[in-house]
Amino acid sequence: MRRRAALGPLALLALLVGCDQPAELRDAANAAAAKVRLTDTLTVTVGGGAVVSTTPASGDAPAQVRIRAQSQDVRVDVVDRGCAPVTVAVTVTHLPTGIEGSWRALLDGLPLETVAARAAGGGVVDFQGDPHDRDRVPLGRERPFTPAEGSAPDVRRFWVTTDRGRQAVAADEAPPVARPALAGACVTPDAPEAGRLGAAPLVARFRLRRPPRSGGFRFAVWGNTAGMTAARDALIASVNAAAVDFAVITGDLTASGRPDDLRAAVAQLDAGLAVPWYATVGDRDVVSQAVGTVVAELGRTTFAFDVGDLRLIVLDSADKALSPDGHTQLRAWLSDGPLWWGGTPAPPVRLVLTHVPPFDPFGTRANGFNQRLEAGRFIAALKRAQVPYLLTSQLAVFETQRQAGVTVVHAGGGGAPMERDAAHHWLQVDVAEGCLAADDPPAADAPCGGCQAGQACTAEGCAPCVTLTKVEFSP
Amino acid sequence: MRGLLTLLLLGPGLVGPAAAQPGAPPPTVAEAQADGFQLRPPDQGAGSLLAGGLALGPGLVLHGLGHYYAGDHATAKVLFAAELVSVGLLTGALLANNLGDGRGELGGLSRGLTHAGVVLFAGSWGADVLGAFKGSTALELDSSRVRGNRFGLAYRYTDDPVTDFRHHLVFRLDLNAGWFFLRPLVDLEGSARLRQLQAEIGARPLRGDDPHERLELGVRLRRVENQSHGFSTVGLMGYSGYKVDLGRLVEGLRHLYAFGRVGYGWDGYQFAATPDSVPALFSDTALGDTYLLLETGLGFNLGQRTHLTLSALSDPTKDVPPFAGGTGGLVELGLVHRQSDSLDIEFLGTMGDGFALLLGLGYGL
Repeated sequence: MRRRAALGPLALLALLVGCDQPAELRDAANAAAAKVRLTDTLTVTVGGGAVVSTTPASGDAPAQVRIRAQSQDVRVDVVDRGCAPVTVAVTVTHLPTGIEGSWRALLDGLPLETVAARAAGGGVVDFQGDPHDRDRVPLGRERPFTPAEGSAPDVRRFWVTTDRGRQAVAADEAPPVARPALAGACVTPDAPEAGRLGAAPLVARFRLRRPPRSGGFRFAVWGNTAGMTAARDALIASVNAAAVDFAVITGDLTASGRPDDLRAAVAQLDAGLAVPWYATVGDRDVVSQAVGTVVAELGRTTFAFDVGDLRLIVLDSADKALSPDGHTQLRAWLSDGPLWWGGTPAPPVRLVLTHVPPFDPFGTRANGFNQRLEAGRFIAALKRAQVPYLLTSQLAVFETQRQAGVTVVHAGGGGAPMERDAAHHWLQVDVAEGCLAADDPPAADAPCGGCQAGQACTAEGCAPCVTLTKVEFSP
Repeated sequence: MRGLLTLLLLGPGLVGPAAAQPGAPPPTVAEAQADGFQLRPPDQGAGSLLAGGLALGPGLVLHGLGHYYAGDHATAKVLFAAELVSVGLLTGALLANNLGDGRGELGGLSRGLTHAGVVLFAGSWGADVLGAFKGSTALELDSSRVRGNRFGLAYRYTDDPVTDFRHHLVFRLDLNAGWFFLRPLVDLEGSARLRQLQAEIGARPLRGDDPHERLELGVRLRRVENQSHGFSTVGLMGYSGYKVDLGRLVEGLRHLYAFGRVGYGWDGYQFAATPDSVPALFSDTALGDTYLLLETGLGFNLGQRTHLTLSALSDPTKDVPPFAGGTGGLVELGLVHRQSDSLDIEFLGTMGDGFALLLGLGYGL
């Protein structure tokens, strides 16, 4: 008699597999937000921000690009490979107040003789064009400009017109007058007028940044609000009273990731916070969230930026793991290489922010990374880079742990119900000026001799480079 | 000519006896019994498609509906009771989490209750479906080995999206001496940059009349060296495991075994100054971590010599990343074919956000 075996693994599988979007989808969305193709010949790339929406050109209306700033120093490159003049209207939101703007036109390429000379010189002989784009030829100097104010104080608009035929760029604070195409403007590599780099794409590079200033700076960090709007109002009031320069939200803005809840949270923050704010997602935010909504509302979920002596690295760990791109980017950002402004030395100190900690203090509860090998790898990378703090917000407590020389701060007091009746809180992070690199302490007889790694050399002597203060508030 | 003769000789056998004797009346029950056919014993109910369909559909909400329709009311009550217990366990897990505001001290309890509740819910539903379709006759005898010593050699392929570790060689021993067992294992990744060494030592204080049924208590010692990322772990886990014939509860599930393990472990992490090295075995640990291991599964024989296991596993220390959502666990499917008295062919598939496939041989010593 034959036996039939009916298996019930599918039910078990269905129970085990959640409805969350995989991190790889968000990786793809993050990459797409860094570079968009408006037409076959026109692309816009962003550093320190994310493209959250585009509108194609229609009739006389130019193409529009809306960018959400995710740093204090935003770079926008409009790259034109076409023939006729083309205008792009650029809107950038969540900028700091008092920004200074500049732009420069470049050709995306180098003459062959320059490439050869650079290779032959081995670094001794080099072509000094633009300090941030060594593989591009500048057309003119860096020019200051003031973008027009937009619909809110943190919004700026400007119009970019590129004309590759004339190798000309115009940056306007108002919609420009349309220019006719130059006859025969389309330059192909074999055209007589191609000449040296005549066929190279034309780049209009823009910089919008908070002016460098002396002294340190202060910012706010929190997470785990979980949709508690009243608590968020109280938190916003508390942050505004502390005169911070910007805020970073480390996830769980919503209770269950519904798109409407995320939009409401963003609107509340935009209306209430007096400073720019940047955010990543937490595990609650990805339960039912469409990838497009997340990026459209928050920008990229994994990002980094340099400010003062600090490189802030914000990682998407909403799946209780880092994505493959997240690991690659973390490795690059922990190194001494520049972010999007080539030739700029990396700041001496790194700070890493994410929602889920690698290790839950209560390991059996398993509220850290899903896989311990990945958690170990993460801590190993932070330890080698001598990162002083890892700030997280998964756990509704305030607690610090010392793990392999890294202080892991669990600060999930942004509004969700707390464990053990702990107080709601956010973190005030003060960063001093003159922070010393961890691996390059000054000599004993130097002006800052005696200061240790992780300290700053100030007028008053050695001081902590990064100071964390827990600020409590009542919802 | 030879082919034609072959066809003539084999032809009747190929097309079947009925077709070879067109128009012949079917054999009587007595004639069939004389040929070896066995009547279903009166105390063993028959399965049916409709019963199975009821168990599959509405039986998802009312476990035992399939058996009830098939006339096995006693089993139906047992399965329904199991469903109620599973709901109770899940409710307990929810209460432990919410009333405790998610505090860490109750985290392990909450996870354990969740695991037990989910498994019991899925198990009672699956038992209803299986029994309703096939009826109450027993499954094949379990062919997995319970005595003797074995040496195993296997190739394992892993796919973790965030690492480059892929090809592994696995060596293991399974040594049994009366109540006690010792199971050392070495897993070497192809580049030798991930090395896993472990040994399980334990005893079986309880064994049933059926040699496959048992209660195990053991300790797992393990060292993992990850040279690609510059860290290693040393750890210790205490666990208890069981294997029981579900036929004790549901007549129609004889020789369908439930097995499981619950373990509590501690791992110490050691970090090297550079990513291309690994700290020595007795280096200081820079951080310690605890974890729970939860495993529940089913095992039964597909045929006389092939044993299949399917389990849900929550082991955060595995080199396969678990599913990102849901319970964050793994699913494992195992097949062991007893090729001969001294040779097994083994397959194990592990599925999570990544996956692993193991293919190996086990030799009796």
